[in-house]
Amino acid sequence: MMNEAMITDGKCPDFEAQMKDLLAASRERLGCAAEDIGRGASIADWTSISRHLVATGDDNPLYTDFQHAVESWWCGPLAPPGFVLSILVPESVGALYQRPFDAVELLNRIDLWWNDHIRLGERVEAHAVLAAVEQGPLVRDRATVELTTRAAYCAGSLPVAAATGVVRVHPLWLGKELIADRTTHSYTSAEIAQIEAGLDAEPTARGPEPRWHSSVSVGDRLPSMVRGPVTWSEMLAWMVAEGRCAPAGNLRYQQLLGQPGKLRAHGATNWQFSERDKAREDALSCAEVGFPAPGTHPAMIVALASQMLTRWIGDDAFLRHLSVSLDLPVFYGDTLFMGGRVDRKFIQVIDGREYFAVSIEVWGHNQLEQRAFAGRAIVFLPEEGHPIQLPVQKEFRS
Amino acid sequence: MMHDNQFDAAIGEFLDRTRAMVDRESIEDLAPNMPVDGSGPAITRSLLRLDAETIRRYAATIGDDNPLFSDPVYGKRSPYRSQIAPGPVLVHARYPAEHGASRPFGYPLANFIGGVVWEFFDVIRPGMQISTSKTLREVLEPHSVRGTRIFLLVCEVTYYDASKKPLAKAYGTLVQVPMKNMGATRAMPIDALGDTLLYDRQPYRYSTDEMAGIIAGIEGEQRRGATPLYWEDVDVGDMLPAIHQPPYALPDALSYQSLHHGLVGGYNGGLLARSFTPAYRDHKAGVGFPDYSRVHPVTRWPYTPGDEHEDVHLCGYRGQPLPFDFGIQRAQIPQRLLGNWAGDHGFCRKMSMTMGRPLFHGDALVVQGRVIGKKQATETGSNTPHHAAVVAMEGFNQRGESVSRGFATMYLPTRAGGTPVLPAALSAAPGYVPYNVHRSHTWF
Repeated sequence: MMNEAMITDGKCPDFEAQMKDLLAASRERLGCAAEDIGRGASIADWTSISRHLVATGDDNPLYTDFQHAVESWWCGPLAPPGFVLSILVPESVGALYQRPFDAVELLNRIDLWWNDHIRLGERVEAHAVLAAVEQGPLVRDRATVELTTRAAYCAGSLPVAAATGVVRVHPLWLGKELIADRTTHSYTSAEIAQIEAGLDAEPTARGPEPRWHSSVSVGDRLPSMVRGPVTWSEMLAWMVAEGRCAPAGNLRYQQLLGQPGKLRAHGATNWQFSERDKAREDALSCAEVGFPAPGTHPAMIVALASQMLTRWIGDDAFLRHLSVSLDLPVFYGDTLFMGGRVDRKFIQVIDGREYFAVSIEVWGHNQLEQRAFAGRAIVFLPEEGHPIQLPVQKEFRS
Repeated sequence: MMHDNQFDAAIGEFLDRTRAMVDRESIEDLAPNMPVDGSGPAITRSLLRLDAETIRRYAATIGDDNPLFSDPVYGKRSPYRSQIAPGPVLVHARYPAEHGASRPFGYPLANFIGGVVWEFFDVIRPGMQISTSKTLREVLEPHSVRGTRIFLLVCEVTYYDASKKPLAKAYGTLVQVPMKNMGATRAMPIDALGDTLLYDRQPYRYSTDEMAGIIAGIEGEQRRGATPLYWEDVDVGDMLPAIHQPPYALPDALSYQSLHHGLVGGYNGGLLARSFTPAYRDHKAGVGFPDYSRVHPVTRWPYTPGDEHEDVHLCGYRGQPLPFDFGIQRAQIPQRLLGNWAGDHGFCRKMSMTMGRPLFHGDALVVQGRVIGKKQATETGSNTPHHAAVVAMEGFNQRGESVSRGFATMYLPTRAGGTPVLPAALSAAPGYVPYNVHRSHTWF
């Protein structure tokens, strides 16, 4: 079956009408299960956890070393907090794939709340619904659409985390326009030296020495973290870490027949049944779908931000919340320079227990000094005589 | 010239050290945290977890949606009384190829899978725990048609169940091509990139008619399923219904990796360092077997990993003009051709696929098969007769070029005897079948 809707007549698309269509069609799915999101890990087995660790370059012994974890306050091996993104990424695109739209969908924001750790071997699952469909801000003088997904994560049937993700759909004349005026970055010798210095200077994770709440001051900086330049290895390892089914081409073709909005001719071969969300990862076809260079999966950036926090807080602490605004795509070849700063200290009382909390501002910019992401986190730190008790809330809901 | 001397010395060292590895248990492709100094057990456990979902996903990665592999309820009604896995799923328990000797920054050789030959003794079921043993058996230097040296490293992998009962064997051939422009290490200097390409190719652009032909092939795929194909009804010369794969693209490269990642440890025995700081540290130290690091021609990053299969900027480091498929993946796909034809009651006893040339990104694939023999066979140590059909297979790209060839032995049901008796009655894994035997159709 050839899809006639894929054949363009050379006219600029009517973006306004398309976005109205998308709004209306997506609103028909409000409150429904977000079945367009690929499902990842269903068990927190070592293979799935290690794929996440490898993909994020996380060598924190709390997660990589079973004996180390056994000796920790948590009494056994854990998955890192970002592992929830290996179960499900809250990134429904609503009705975007139901018919061809001239647009690019980008994960714009993720808010995560954690209530407990996920432990090795636990059965895990996530339930996600399309929670909101709204007109977004004007970008390039064109109205965007924002689709909000809410997800709840369970481990061993108990709620452990919740997430909200917002996908922003940008109208874009595919094949004619790009989302950024960029090419793959070519580094100078000085830039390479700067990256190497950052990588060489990366401290080990804090480990078992507690980072007491009383020892932290507003203004304290987290050690900077350099991630990149991104190669295909990093992109691939993250795709594997997301744990989604990866069928061969004949079966992808069959699936695509039910998702006409996903179809796009491959830029290099003209094969009409390429997935446009996959084409963006391919140097031979990314320009056809609006990407000047292959793009990383945005959820990886969120996982890297959570890694920066867990390396700093130490084994006995707990990452409670992370909200990340993804301002720019991170392209193949880009390098992230990440940092964080303590901006508030406070005590939360939840279900009658005191938690010694710290709010942290996090950020990352690329090698062009463009802000790639910014966000805030809340971590619970131990205080002498007050180890952290989990789960945080007896009744935890997203 | 000093450059030539270094190259020749490196090749000589590689050959000497690799030949010394023959008949010794391999330390390649072990699960994370296994000893990599040779002190581990001869038979090692794999991390491959054969649950229903993993089997379903595996079958999808090789394009097979036969409910025998994806639907436990269907499987329960089948002759096997459970869901089963396509036999080549075992590649994820242990990669059936051996790269030979290694050293920091590697040797100047481009490596390619030459072929994989399988022997299956039983079906693979959910819940099986797989252990493996891998041994390099032969190091050969055939005459090359291009006039350059090539080396064939032939290994034997035996796959066992939890009771150490042999389930399957694989004979994998790895082709190592000496590349003078690599100098004395695995990665050539960036100024030599593109000097020596093994093929002259551009991405293939499909016409409407060509695409329609591929689609017709995909949509017309026939699967026999639960209806038995009786041995008596098969004739020499019968054609198998062909299988078609659309143009190979980056998501196909992900298919194989989506299951294999995490099952194999790192170069020093821990987790594989594939990303960010741990990968940087390994690459800077010259670790990274078998592909090591190289200077990226665009970003100029000097510790770029060996994504030569998938990355259009890096494929030239392996002498290829375009990204290309994984031979190990192409070697698995023909089992669908055989399964579609033979139906659920047929049992693939042997299967081979030899790689003739790469399948480049953008290349389509059609695999055809023809019955070239019928015979009755008994396994060593058993009197149980099996009724076999021998099949010759060949894969072609969209240009009509042959890209792979192979053979298979299929045990088929008979009207009188019913479904083939499984497992094939083996008291122990049979001995090694040498390269010049297992590559010949007469062995099938």
